[in-house]
Amino acid sequence: MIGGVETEGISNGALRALLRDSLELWRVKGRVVPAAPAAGAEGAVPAACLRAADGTEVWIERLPPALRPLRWRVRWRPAGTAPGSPEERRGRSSPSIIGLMRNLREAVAPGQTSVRVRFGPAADAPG
Amino acid sequence: MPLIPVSILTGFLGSGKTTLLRHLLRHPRMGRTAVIINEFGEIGLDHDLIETSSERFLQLTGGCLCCVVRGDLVETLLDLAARRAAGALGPFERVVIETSGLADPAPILQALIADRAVAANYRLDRVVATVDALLGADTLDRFVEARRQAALADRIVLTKTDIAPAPLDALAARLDSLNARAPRIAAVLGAIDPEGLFAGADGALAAVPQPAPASRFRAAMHSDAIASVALVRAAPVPAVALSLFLEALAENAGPDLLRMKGLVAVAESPERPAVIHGVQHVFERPVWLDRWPSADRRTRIVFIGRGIPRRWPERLLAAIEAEVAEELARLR
Repeated sequence: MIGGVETEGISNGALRALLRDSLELWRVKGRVVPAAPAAGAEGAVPAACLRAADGTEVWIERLPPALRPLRWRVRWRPAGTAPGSPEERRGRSSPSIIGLMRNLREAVAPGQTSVRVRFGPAADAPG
Repeated sequence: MPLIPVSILTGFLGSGKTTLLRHLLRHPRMGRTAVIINEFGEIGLDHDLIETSSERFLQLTGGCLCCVVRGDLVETLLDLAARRAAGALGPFERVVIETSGLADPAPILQALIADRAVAANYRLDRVVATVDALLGADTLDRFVEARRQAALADRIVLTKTDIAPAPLDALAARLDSLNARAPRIAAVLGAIDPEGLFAGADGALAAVPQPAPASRFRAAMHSDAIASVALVRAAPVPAVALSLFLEALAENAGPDLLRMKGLVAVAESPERPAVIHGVQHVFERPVWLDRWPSADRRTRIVFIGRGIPRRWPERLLAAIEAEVAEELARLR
């Protein structure tokens, strides 16, 4: 259980480590820190905070089981904007850590392009 | 019909690719090899080695074939396959593609992986890179093309070792930082035994990486930060987690993931590991081995790329796995 939310998924510490590495991979300067414990909208529980070097602030929240398949919400305040922007109020939710990373990258590195995987033709599979 | 193995011979300008190739074409073990090159003139074959010639093909004594690429490599490979099937060419058993000295091997690898028609006839065997023992350390420092070629190689051939001042510590350290896993073989004036250099019978096993030896030079010393990162783990990976992992690798590391090769213990297939291989965002479908190649049943994957944090792949996989486990438990 994390912050009152039943979960067997990734711990907050492991999440922060992954996000720090991801920032480095994306060449985005910033800090990932523990989130202040506080109840969020719809029972969301803060999992991590991120402050990018350009001033963008990001809050990453775990969503309660009642909202499955959605698991994560990313809210952010772009640098230089006043509190209460749509991105900060509503954020973007996703069912997976992959979706979380996609939303986070959109928040801190909006100019970067994600690349879709391309698989070659099928090979044999175990019988 | 078995797929024809294709090896890529790359290396920076003046590193000795062509000298090596010229020597190999005379070697009995290299009979029935089709070589794709840019120009005949570059290879400088002796006339007594040429059996027949046309504008585009040289048939050599000993069974080798030289073919000049005209524009599109994929088209050339398909043309070769079609002529072979029609009996218009001798039954070559392997292909070696010699790249130019400034070439990036990655697009060639991607074409071999992703082009359906090419993949129906050929399979990638390995990348061999020549590195000049005399000037190589300096070349690797100055030219990103040389670094990419060395980083992507499965085998590295050190040329001009007879005239390079010993020891080769600076070069070895530089190669360690780029690609510690690729075996290095010395060649003098191109003389080398092709055994173990090009297509072997081990097929997909040629892709099985070994964890690189620990080196204090793991971090690259240049702004392009090409280095290799290894992921080794004992616990098998669920198939759906592996699939999501590959997707996330491409999406997040994409152009910076120069090459990835690995042997994966898949939970649903304990006796048949999966060989995975990718170049940037283009991945081969996993190839399933009939059995483990050794008593070591750990998953081991090598990532060669730019600026990939050492533990990022491991942390990403762990996160995906945890989520897959949670979702499966929820759905039961």
